[in-house]
This record gives sequence, C-alpha cells and structure tokens, in this order.
Amino acid sequence: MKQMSRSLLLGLFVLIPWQLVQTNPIALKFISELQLDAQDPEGWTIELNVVWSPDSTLDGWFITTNNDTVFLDSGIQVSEGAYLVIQNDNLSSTLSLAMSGETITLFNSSGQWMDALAYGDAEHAEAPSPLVLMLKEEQR
Amino acid sequence: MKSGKTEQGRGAHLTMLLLFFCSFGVENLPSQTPIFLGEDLVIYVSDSLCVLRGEYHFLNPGTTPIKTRLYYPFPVSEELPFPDRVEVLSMESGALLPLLGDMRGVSFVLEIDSLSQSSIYVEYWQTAEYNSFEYILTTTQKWSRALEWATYEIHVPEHLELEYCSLALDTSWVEIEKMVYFISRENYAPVKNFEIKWGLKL
Repeated sequence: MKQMSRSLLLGLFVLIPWQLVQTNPIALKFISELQLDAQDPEGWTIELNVVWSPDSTLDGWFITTNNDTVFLDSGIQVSEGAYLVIQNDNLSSTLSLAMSGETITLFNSSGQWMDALAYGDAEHAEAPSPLVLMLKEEQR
Repeated sequence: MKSGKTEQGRGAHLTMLLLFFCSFGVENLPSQTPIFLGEDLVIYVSDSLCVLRGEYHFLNPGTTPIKTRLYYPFPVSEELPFPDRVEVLSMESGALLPLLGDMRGVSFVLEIDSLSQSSIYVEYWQTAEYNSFEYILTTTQKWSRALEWATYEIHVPEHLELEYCSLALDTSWVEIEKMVYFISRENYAPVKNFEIKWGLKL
C-alpha cells in the first residue's frame, strides 16, 4: 500500500494553474507545470508553454533556483504555443530541486526575467510542498 | 484473489483521494495572474499616421506580490506596419519599462504588490497609409472575465472624417480643429477587434 502510494505520488504534485488574459496585453506564463519526484531530487520535470518568445531557440536561456544556476541545452527549438518538457537531460549541468521548497526562475539569453515559480517554504510560494501532501496521505 | 481485489479497490480509492487533494490544492492556490480591470485608450488619427495612447489597469487581489511578463501584440500587416515608436511606462513610478520584442509585438514585466492596483501607459505610433487602424481585442471565449470598463476616444482632425468604426459610438464633440468620438463600455467582453477607417472630408 505504502509503495503504491509512493508510486502515485511520484511526479505529481506541483501543478500551477494560470490563466491567459486573452486581451491586449496578454499575460505570459512560461512555466506551466512542475512535477517533482519524491524519491529523486534530480527526477523533476518542468513543462514550458511558449505562448510567445522573441527567440526561435532557447539557446542561452537559464534557470536559477535557491542555490543553483543552470543553462538549457543549445538547440531547443521553440514554436508559438508549443509545450516543451525540460528535464535534467536538457540542461548543461545537473539540477536538484528540494521537495521542501524552491523558487525556480527562468531567464532568457539576455538575462531578462521571463517567469518564476515558487513552492513549499519559498517566499511567495504558489503551491505547497509535495511533502505536505505525502504527510497527509501517510496519516491516513 | 479476494484480498487482491480489495487491494485494487483501495488503490483506486487512494487514487481518487490523491487527485482530490491535487485538485483541491490547485483550486486554492493564489492566482499569479493579475486581474485586468479596464483600459482607457485615446487614438489620434492623421493623414497617414495613427497614435495610440492607452492606460491599462490591473489588480492583484492576492496576498502575495505578482510579477508577470505581459505581451502586447500589434496588428501588423501590409497596411499597418510595425509601429515606429513604442513606449511602455509604469504609471506608478513613471519609469520606462524595458521591452523585449519581435515583429508582432513587445513584451515587458509587470509587478504588482499584494492587494494593490497597478497601471501601465502604452504609446505607439503606427504608419497608416491606408487610413485604417486596428486594435486587437481577442475573442471572449477564452477570457477569464470581462473588462470592468473600457473607454475609447478617437481624435480626428477637422480636414478628415471618421468613415467607419466597428464599435457603436456613444457620443462625440468638437474640440479645437478636431472632432472627438467617444465609446464607453462596462463589463466588456468584445468579440471582434476594434477597427476604424477615415478619409478626407469632402
């Protein structure tokens, strides 16, 4: 039962809702989803929704967390409206995400802020830590 | 077998519970997108140029600050080339906001404190050789909510006349050497873009 719970918990939990304000101007939300792995801090997945981008590739774009900065691999093509899945395989170096909380910020190649996502104990967190959900589940 | 079925049943039950928790959590997260309250636009037409000066008002109803990137598209076509000049200012600080852009629009970052309102001022100059202008108001179907208000002023110099406006005019008045047309809407969820055409007064 416990193992099953864990397998269900894997990669589920930080789902961030966003609404595109469909008017002029439009609110962009690049980071559309984050999945964390309860067993592996390097097993995360970030989904990017590129509603609009000034660049045709994500060359030089980078992600910062509380303790780390990593560049996205060169050659990741973007097209308008595309959903891109980013994992450690798509980065120049390995990134670990703490289950307790992080602020993940996305910058373009010029270092301009594109989007951010905070969860858990990070300041201005938009979602609880998956640990909270796991704790609740185990208490059952 | 019986035990296995029970275990399967529990598994399904647990799945339902987990999905419930996820959905519950998602629905109760503070919104990270501001509410677009309203806009006040003034459009100045001339023989071959159109200038738009717009104020856009946003609200952060949440208890955490919002930082979000906005994209401001332009209707770019053969008749309406990309604007010659674009400026975006924070109306609170008066500071020019750094712009990112491509051939169809510009992007900038909007920051709003918790439980606060913020406004931006946008001005752009667009060549209008064909004496027509279009302002993008995308369809209502995907809107999360209607604008609480929208006002549009069209300033037409006296040697020109407004030949077409896609929105019904509310009122008009004469100012020095020009005519001003005014449109006001509340709870406004437009279904088509705002278009105007003008020509020489006969």
